[in-house]
Amino acid sequence: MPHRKKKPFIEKKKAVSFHLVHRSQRDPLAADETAPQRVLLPTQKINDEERRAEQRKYGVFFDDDYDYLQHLKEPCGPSELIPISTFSAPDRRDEKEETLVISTTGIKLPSSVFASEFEEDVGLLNKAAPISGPQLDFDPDIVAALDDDFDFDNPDNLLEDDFILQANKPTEEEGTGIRKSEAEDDSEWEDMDDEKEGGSDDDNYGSAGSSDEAMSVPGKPPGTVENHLFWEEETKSRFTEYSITSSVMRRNEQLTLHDERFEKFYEQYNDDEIGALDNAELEGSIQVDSNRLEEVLNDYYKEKAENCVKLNTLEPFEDQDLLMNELDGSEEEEVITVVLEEAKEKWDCESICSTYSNLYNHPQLIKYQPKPKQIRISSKTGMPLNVLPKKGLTAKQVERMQMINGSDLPKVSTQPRSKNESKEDRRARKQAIKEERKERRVEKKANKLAFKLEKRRQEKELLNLKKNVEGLKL
Amino acid sequence: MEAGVAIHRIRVTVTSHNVKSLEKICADLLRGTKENNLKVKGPVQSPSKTLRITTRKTPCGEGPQTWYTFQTRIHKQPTDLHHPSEIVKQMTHQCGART
Repeated sequence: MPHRKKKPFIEKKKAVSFHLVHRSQRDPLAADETAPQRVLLPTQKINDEERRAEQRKYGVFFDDDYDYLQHLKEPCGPSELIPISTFSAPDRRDEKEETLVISTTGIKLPSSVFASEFEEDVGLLNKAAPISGPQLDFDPDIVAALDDDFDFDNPDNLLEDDFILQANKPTEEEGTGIRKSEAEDDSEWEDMDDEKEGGSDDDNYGSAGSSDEAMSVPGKPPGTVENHLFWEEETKSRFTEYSITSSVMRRNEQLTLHDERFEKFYEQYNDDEIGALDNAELEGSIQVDSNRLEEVLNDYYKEKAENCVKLNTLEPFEDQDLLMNELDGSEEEEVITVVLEEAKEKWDCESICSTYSNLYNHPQLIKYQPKPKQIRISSKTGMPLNVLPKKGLTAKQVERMQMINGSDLPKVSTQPRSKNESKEDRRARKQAIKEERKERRVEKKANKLAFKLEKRRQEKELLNLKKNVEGLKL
Repeated sequence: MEAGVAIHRIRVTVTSHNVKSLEKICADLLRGTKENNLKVKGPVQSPSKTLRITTRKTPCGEGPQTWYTFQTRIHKQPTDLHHPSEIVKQMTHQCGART
């Protein structure tokens, strides 16, 4: 180790150690870009043994290196608030760096390297976080409107949209102004919220209707013919009688106007409006040859004549224009029309059949089936002849055929005797034959012996098997 | 601790799992120091400690005896500096900016 014998670089007893950590979010300098975002945090050097002793005081008996004391801190008691008379620190910071003196060792380091002395209540990131939960700084009526159960059709619940204008108006008009705008709002709101809470709506309408009846007597307020007040509107119409369905029907200003117009129009048809019905009587009889009947008949004939097509007026309908031209021009000319027949395709059975789908239709040529032959059985084996494939040569047989055996070589005994044979030749031939026979005898003997031995061996094996193996139970 | 020029002897120990970032920070420190012509004893590579956890892969005891060997390496590089107080601020700023 390089530093063992040399003077240590740092004297441990006088040394202070720090950790380099991120600046706290609550530190006001966190937003400052010039201030370093990492600060030095002095480490607490506490001896292990001392710590463990301290821990044991509180009932923690673990002997590992973990500091359980950090979880055993008491909650801080009620703190005293002291007002700050002057806040001199930022002033000085503008001019020069404050040097912080660490009490124990007297090390001087610039203060920006350490965390700020005071911290804000709310950290930088927390300020930017969206607020959830009840927000008490909103107005109570707005909060009520944001609620799900808000009843929009209750006239008391409505918020005036033009509250700014109202606020700006002088106070004398305020009374009527509010009522006016309320009525306008009512009609608008009517349109929008018909699905919501029909029950409560009905109650309102019902009450409005009944109150309406009572209030229809005083008549309309002066000067506000167009803007009927909600509770003065007649909800009974010619067609309906305070019905619930008609009251919840979607109706905006225009539609209401339309309804009213229709009612007005329908007034024309009141009983007293319609005059005498002398001409409307439909009973009675008419003479057969009366003028009126004849006229009716003529009309009928005329109509029929227009509709029916007579043969001599028939013309080949080619073109509207042409028709017109022909009517105009001379009708004596014969118009020769050449009828072009479409080239008809000639079909025959085969091609028609080929158009059928091949999934279901499988056309084939009819095969000629000759008379089937009688099956003959071989007398030897009992198997039908000419049915099984003929056996070819096996591989072994082929091999053997290729091999040149000793038996293939021409033997002297098989060769023909030439006619003019000399004595020597005859002797030689006979000798050769004798030798061949001799060889053959030797061969035969060897073969016989081999076979005998093999037979004996196999018998022995079989016997052994029988004796030893057969009775064994595994 | 020398009071006159207020140069502090500072031992900066950088610890990390990641060797590359470690090297980077130490290089930055060195560079900063050399620009200011201050004494520095370069980063000493102390041996990296390996924390090992070797456990059976299986949640039960059945099956072939397969083991996981998990490792974390801690690398530590102490650097000795002779810095005056003002430079300390710069250094903390720089270190913070780099990581």
